[in-house]
Amino acid sequence: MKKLHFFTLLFLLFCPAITKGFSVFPQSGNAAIEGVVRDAAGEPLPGVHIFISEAGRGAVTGREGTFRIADLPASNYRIRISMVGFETLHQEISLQEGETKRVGFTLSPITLQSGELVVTASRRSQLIGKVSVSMSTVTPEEIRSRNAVSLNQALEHVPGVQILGNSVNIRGSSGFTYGVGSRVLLLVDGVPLMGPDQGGMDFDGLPLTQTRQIEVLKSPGSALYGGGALGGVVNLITNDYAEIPETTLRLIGGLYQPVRFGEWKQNWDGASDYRPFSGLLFGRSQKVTQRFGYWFSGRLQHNEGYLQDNRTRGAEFYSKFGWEFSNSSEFSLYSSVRRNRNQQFLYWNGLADVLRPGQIQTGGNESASGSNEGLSDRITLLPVYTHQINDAIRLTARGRLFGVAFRPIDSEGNVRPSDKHNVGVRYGGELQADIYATEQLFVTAGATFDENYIRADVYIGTDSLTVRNQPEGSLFLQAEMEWTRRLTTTGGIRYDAYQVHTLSTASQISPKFSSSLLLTEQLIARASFGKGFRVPSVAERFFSNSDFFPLESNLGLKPETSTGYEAGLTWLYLLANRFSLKAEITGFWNEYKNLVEPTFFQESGSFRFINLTSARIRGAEMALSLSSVDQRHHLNGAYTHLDAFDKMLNRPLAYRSSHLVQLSGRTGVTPKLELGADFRWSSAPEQVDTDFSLFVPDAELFPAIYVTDLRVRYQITSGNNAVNLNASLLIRNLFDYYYVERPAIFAPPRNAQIVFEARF
Amino acid sequence: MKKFRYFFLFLATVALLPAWGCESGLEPPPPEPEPVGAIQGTVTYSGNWPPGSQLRQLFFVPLDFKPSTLLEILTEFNQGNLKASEPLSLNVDSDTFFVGDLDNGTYVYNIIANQFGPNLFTDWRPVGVYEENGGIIEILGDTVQISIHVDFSNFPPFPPE
Repeated sequence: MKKLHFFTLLFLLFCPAITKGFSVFPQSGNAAIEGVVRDAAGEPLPGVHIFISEAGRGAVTGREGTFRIADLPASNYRIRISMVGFETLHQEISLQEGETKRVGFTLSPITLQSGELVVTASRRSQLIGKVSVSMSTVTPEEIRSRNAVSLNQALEHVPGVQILGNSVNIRGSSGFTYGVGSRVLLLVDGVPLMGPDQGGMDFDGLPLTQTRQIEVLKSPGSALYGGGALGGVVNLITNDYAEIPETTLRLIGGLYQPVRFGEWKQNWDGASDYRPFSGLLFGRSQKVTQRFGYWFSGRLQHNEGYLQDNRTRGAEFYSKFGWEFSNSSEFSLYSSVRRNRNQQFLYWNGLADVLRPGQIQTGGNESASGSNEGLSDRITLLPVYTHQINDAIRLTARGRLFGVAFRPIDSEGNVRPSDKHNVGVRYGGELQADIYATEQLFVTAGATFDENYIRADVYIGTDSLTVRNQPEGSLFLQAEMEWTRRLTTTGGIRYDAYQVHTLSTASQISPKFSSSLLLTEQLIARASFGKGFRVPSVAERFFSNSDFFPLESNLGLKPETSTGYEAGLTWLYLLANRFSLKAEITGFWNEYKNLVEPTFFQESGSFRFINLTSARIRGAEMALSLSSVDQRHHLNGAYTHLDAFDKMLNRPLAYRSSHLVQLSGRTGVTPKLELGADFRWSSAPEQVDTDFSLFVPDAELFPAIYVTDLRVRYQITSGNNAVNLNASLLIRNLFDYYYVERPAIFAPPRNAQIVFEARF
Repeated sequence: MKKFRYFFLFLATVALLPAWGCESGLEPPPPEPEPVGAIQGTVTYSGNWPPGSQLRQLFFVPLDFKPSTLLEILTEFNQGNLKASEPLSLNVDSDTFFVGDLDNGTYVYNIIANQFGPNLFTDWRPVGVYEENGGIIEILGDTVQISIHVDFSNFPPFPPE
């Protein structure tokens, strides 16, 4: 009955949106006013309210900050331009009969940091101060100054986020998952980009040099994004096209320092060498005409690896172009191709021999190897078409195609026979309507469809099929109501249906509700509730192989679900007119059911993914950031406390650290010289998976992590020079602290790199 | 804004201080100790050496228990659980000794044993006891150096206190 009430409420909210959306504004004249609204930095501002009280007419700026109010009678008007977080502007305008007046407005932020825009919380641009769920962002400057070339490097300093091998762990949502399944959803420009087979994130295949922002949503996001957003969402927003053509070249060269213990070096000659890595990044962005723009970027990389059998080589290329057919419709296409030849280190040979892969007995005379090598090819296509039907309604159609082919390589360096190759394709699309139903009510609605196709000999379950499909479809609806300038509430619901296996279909309903309240101009309160779910990946269901580890399939796996509650306060303050201060405190409580965990079965002598347990993860997070108004000095600090408890086994949940601390600072010592440092600490997990150590010696070791990175950047040429050239020295793991980020894999020792970057 | 750069540098330095104080992280496991070790030592003598009738043999003997009777020592000896040095030189100021192939463990009663009569099974007494480190010798696959003093005018009590 409660669900019915919820639907009714949403329907009632949706009705005016439909009627208003398709209505035509009063026809009382033929003059018009149009223009663009920007922030103090010149960036277009979407979501700004333009209101002419004399005519009772208004508009809201679109993604490019543009607006148009037509059919106005000739008169003198006083226009109000307003947006939360910015100072309201009033402007007198005089319109003649038949005149179309072009104007430009600039809004000044009330405090510097409240002007930050995000899109992930509601599938549309919003000021981060107005978002009613926990979010953090990573800026291009942070990515560039840390020379982050993979997603894990870009995210490891986000408050509450911990990288565990190839899993992103937001506030304890994910433990170590053996590389399959992810409880955090990865999006590129709002489009899911998870592996078709393993359902994991690909940290390397992303255009970080053409990234405008990475947004991290830290609570269940299934009400908008469906399966996978159990613990949160990471959304990589790609760049717009540069008004002034810009070419970027970045050359990277670095070395891993040999470990200091002779015991670890004695079994592998390469361990005594400084192991090199290098890369070349390039890119260009240009808005060719007012209606057409493009960017492309690429990376060539070679990494000898600091572990034996861990060399990686690869080339990747990304591009995006956008074409505005008319004032109301545009098309963009993001694409990427990538080829890698990687050796993958799976587990060590014990604490006495951490740099070499191990060998484990899987029964009888058979053994599995702790490393493998393969050739992987990936292709991604993300077309987006947007059509602005009128001032109030915008339709967006998004498509996606993500293909992966993996060809294993044998010990002689030859590609293994084709029956050992894996092919996976995920494709789908979605249709989304954004409706400004009234000046106060914004509605988002849509439908999605996704299908994946996987052919691999390792996914032969008990039904003996070699081809796997997992189609899914959904409907979603969200309404955001700005009751007053201070109070905004959001309600949403999503219905997902998916095929469990060839014979049965299951469904999930994921509601959300959130609210934000501007207590004062500096203090914002927020609270939210949301549900999330994750359909087990094909790998978790069907993987059956002992080449690297004894694993067997489980066709009966059920989806994991989560229910999350959080409440928080954000305080923005301009300190002595010189520093922008942002302080946040958040409490959260998440309940998880049917969590999928790998478990060892004695009778079969192998691991199997099963719905093992229910868990409760609660905690608090505090984050503080201080920036000088000239943006030359930055200090950030965050502390997250987690109480992650396995309710079935009555013990702490495995691989969750109770304490996370992240500190970072960046300062311009002189106009040409910048220093930066990062420190992260996570306490040793109270519980680890001891089953893994039945096979791999010392796999239960998981000490606390203390890692400090240092960087120096010198601007060689800048300003009026044709080429903006800078050089950086980065030292990662400055104190050469030895730790693991996933069981039985030694994390990188101290390494240094020099980066030359040219922009012209 | 210039003056603030030092403030930020100071804050950043303070913020990074925990990194210096942290634990050392992973390190290779300590090597497995050899199952046996040895004791190598020096014995010095003072006082008047006893007459030859009471000075038949001298040995260094490590024991991993404190005996309450001589019989306990002889029982261990008969069962092959007791190791002793080669016979020590007589009528000298000092001598060295070595006991090898000792099982790892804690040796709590380490003596210079003197056969003072003709009966090989009953005529034994301690004439010197190792007293440094509380009289305890820890063997962990290594060779431990010790020194013992024998004062012929003041024999240690037996059984030990």
